[in-house]
Amino acid sequence: MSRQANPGAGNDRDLVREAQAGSERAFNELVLKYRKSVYLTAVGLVTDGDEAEDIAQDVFVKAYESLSLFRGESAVYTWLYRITVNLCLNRIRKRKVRSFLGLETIANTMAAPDTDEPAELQELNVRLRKAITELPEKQRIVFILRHFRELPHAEIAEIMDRDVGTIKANYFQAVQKLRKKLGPYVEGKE
Amino acid sequence: MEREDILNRVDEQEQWATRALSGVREDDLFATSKVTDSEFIVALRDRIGGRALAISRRVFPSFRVVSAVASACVILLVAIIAGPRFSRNSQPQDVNHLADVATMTTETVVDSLADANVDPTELAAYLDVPDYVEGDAADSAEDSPLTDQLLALDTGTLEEVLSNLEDTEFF
Repeated sequence: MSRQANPGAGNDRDLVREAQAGSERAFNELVLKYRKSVYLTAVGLVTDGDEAEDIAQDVFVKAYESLSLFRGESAVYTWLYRITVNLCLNRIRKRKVRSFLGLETIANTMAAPDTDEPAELQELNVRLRKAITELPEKQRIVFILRHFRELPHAEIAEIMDRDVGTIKANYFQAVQKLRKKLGPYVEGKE
Repeated sequence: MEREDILNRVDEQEQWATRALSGVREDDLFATSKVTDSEFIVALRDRIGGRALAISRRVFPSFRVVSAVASACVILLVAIIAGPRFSRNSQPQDVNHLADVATMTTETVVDSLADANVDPTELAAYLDVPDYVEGDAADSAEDSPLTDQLLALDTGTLEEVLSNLEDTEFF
């Protein structure tokens, strides 16, 4: 699987230090490095491409504004994903309120991307996307961060401000649900 | 399922996910961004610049505002300090002339009042007092209401007020 995990975290702290000192070049480099993974994380959570674009912008605006507060205790990508998750949760909750008030209908607005994948794989993609969308928020976040971002449970726990046991339990339940829905489509791979 | 059992089976679930979804590409699963890197950076810079400007405008007023407020303060200060001096040091010629005119007017009026031939009615009209009737002066002392009379209560009126009070229902 080609996953946009996390770009090399090697010189991230240097980039942040330079950006804190006022280097626009360093901040731009950081943005370009993490832009795609932030976007993909957001789109998996909010299931809407346009909203994910907005959120990706918001993430880096917020990161810029709080650059001085970053002390380097966690990895730079952990910091960025934490901002991403929080902004996505805010967006999801606003959407729910608007839906409750009849101002908006919640729907899976994410269009299927055009791919040259075989039909069988496209079918799996459609079902997987639907199954991920139907996961409860926290399980969806944990699954995306674990499976697609390849973050260790401890870092996910830090991002979501939960203990590791809770994160593992969320992951277990998420995969169990996906397994139930996708079982017939992935037979032979198990 | 026990929590401990769940935690023990997490690895198994993970292995399933890795195998089952091995052919799935995230780019194919979720639509990729349509915005290019340079467009993203430009848009981001605009937003960051705009927010910095908005914040600075809230915290630091524009130069125009500052200079307007400063000018107003200076003018006010000058007016407070120089105001009394200005009134004292105004053109002496004008003040003296006005004083002369005022004096002349006053003298004319006073002189006319002192004139024995002035009709009391004219004086009364000038002083805006009630019509003056000859002979009233002698009776005026008796007609003017005395303090006791003013303070004396109209018994009839008091009784009427009391009976109204008794009839009134208070809640």
